[in-house]
Amino acid sequence: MPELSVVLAGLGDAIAPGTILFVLFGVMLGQFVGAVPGIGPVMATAIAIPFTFYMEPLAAIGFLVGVNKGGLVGGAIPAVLLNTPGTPDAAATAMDGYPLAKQGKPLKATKMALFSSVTGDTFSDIVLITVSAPLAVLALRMGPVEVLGVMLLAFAVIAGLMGRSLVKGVIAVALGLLAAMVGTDPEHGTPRLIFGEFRVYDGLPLASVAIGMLAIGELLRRLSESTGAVRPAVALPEGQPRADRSVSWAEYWACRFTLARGAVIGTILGALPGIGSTAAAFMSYASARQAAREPSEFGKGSLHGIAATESANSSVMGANMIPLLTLGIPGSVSAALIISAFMIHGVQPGPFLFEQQGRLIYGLFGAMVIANLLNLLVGQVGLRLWVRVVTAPESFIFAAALLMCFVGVSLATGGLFGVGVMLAFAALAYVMTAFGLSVVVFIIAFFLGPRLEISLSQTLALLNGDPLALVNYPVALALFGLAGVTAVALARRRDTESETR
Amino acid sequence: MSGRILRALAAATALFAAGAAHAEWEPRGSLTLQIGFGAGGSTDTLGRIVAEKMEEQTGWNIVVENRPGGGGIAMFTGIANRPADASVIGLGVNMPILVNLVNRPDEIPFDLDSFTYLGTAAKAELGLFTRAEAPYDDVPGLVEHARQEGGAAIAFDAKPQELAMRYVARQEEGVEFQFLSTKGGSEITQLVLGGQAAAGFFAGEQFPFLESGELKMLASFNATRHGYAPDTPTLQEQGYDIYVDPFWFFATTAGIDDQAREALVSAIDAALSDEEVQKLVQNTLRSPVFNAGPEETEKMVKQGLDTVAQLFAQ
Amino acid sequence: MATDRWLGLFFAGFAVLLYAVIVPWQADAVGYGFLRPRTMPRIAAVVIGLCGLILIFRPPGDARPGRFRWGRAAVFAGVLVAGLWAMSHLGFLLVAPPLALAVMLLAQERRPLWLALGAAGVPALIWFAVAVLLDRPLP
Repeated sequence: MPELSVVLAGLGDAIAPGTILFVLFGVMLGQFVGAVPGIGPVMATAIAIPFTFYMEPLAAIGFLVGVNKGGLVGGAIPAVLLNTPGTPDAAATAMDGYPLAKQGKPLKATKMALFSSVTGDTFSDIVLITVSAPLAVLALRMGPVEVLGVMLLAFAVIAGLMGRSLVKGVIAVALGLLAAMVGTDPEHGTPRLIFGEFRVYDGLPLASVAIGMLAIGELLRRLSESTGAVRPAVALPEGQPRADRSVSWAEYWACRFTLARGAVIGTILGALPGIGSTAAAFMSYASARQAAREPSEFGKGSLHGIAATESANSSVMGANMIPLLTLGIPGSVSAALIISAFMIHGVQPGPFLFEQQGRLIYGLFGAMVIANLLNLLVGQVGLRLWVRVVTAPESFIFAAALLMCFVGVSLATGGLFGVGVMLAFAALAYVMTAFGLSVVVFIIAFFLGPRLEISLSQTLALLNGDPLALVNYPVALALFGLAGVTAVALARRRDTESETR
Repeated sequence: MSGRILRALAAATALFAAGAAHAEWEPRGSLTLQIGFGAGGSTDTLGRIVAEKMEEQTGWNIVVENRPGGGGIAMFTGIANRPADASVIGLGVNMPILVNLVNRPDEIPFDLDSFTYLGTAAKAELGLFTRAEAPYDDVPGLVEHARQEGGAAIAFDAKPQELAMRYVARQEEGVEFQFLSTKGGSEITQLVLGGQAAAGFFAGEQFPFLESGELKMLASFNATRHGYAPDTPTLQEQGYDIYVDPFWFFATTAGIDDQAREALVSAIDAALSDEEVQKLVQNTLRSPVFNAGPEETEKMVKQGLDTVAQLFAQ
Repeated sequence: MATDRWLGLFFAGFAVLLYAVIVPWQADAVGYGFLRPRTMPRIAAVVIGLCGLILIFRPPGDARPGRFRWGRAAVFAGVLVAGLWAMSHLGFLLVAPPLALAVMLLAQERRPLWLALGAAGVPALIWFAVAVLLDRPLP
């Protein structure tokens, strides 16, 4: 632990007007760019990096943290308002956020997302600032076999999302995994299922598949049902009572257990490198529904549903900084992007970071807390603006969203080829929906697939072909068992629910 | 006195010469720098740093685009099949291209003669590292350890690294390694520090851990020893005749005219010679800027093909 | 019910094709290692095939292709594909306005103000955000 003077100097740097200004710019840029369908928080951060080459280190890192946190809030906006999420995490938010917006309460839905996101984020930042060291040790103990256990648990959770037909759910999972196998195989590095197209050598571009299936597929369906009646994309009733426009303290407080559960799940999974926020968002959603008194409310605009996913996926981002700052291991793409900003300025993350750069790190902690506050403030204004924007006619909003997806995906994937992939998967999503195959299940399997396969490969190599060697991994065995129990429990519960419907 | 005049004269001619060299050719419209990897990675950062400086020094309008896919194959396919007008140059890494040219030449729509080579940007210093408390200090020691324990897990993130270790195992009786394929340096760090891997490949991420004394170096896998560790021998010096030399290089379509080539070569060299660029590149790649010049770059790329072929020869 | 049976038949056939033709063609045969390139795709093929068979014999009956407006969706998809093709030749700035206009007209938007805003305002805003604010090239 560095001396108090260093801590205070760092925090002092963070509240210097210059730093705050850059964090504010970052948050505004992140919320704005993140809300464009097709970009999202990770891409927003990647695009922002070249702006920081010649900035002061703290300003640069504070700016990127602002963009990242702003992007998290922004990413939920199109998901909630238009049901056009750009990532699987946002798809989880849309499951309850969009129904609420459709009931004429778009402000309430987006505000709940904002408050939950900031709550989860703040929680994981506090954990990062206070007790990151023990969690870092946990990260090192979790080897490939244990990570495989966590991945299986994440897949077990999908069982609860499968809708009426378990068989069709399993088909969606298998198709998602198959799409994830396109590209180099993880163990031997040979090209697989690429049909001579080297632009998918590293796998199908994530942004193309996610946005194609989740956003464009939905836009295509809604456009095809447009009738010519003048309809706003989201209706905002005149003279709406205050209760429908805002989230009261009582409503927020009623979600406290859901928020806490989400924040804890997100923080633990975020502290483990390589697992990612998708698993956290859906695990939190599934456990919130499991714990709910009225599980049938989920998927129909439940505030708990929004709270569960947003608190979990936002807390992952803060927790990703735990292995980064304590061990020098970035836990996710966003953390790796922030590490590169450190490195450009000659700051090498690693075990001596706190000793050598204590002032900068406490400056960063200060900037993170400031970014959370600014996120809340900018969000309050920004949400009203976005909600106002989407009260424009459907035709206009959908055309604008399509153009933005074209540009966002081509930015994210490096050209129009990615847009072509996006359109192909949009068509697939349309067909799958028509035949009762869940697109969300497909996407989750697609995002988790590569990590599942590589963990499996590493596990088999470590066991050296001897399944009995698994007894050396008690934690992993416990996780395998938990995954099995969860899958069966959720699948059976899904059965009884669909019968009562 | 005369010295001062001479220096002034020299400076003036240098200025004139530089001005003349650029005046002979400049891109029509804008020059596009394509990067063979996605936004936000180290190659992306390298390319954007160089492009920014080039734009400042030459006054050309430079557009930077990411063309990810196959570690540069997608990008170089595009460049190989463009008209030779020197309006697009590419920044890539040699290894992924060589690996695929060796293994599936028929599927790759270009060969090494499809390009005009413009220079290198840096070499990656690749080495094998392990935890400081491991009971071995070099590759023969690791081999002996694997023999006694019935195996040793090696963490890697690119095929040539795995093949080099398979080559080592083939030279010995009864030695087997388990290979942990990973998605990059941070995962390797985790596996080696966490004790799941007996050794792992690093190309820069190791520095803070060398400093803290948590990691130690077993061998350089390049053809030469590393600048920061002159006492650690290369794999070749340890008795295994194989090496892996990854580097970043610039190239454009084959057959562009000489003036354009000269202008591009000197523009890239000037940007890479800039002190600020050298500092930023060193910070990003954790190895120094190294420009071999156009002829030497071409030789290095083509020689690499033989080395990689030797790696894959079973 | 019948739709689901056809769907099951489709997936059973797809699985056979995947297992016997696509995987051997598009994944290398490797003679060593634990998780070979062909292993996982073939597992996926088997799972899809088995599920296809189950669908044939126990169709859940929740497929509703008849509720979807395939014709109109295909028209919109065609416009988007044509827009993509044009964009790869002419660039975003030339193609975006007519593309936005076409989508809005097809969605039966007729008010000139909104049409103008969509065809001119939105592309201009995107141009400003991407080319000016973010300093990235537009497609």
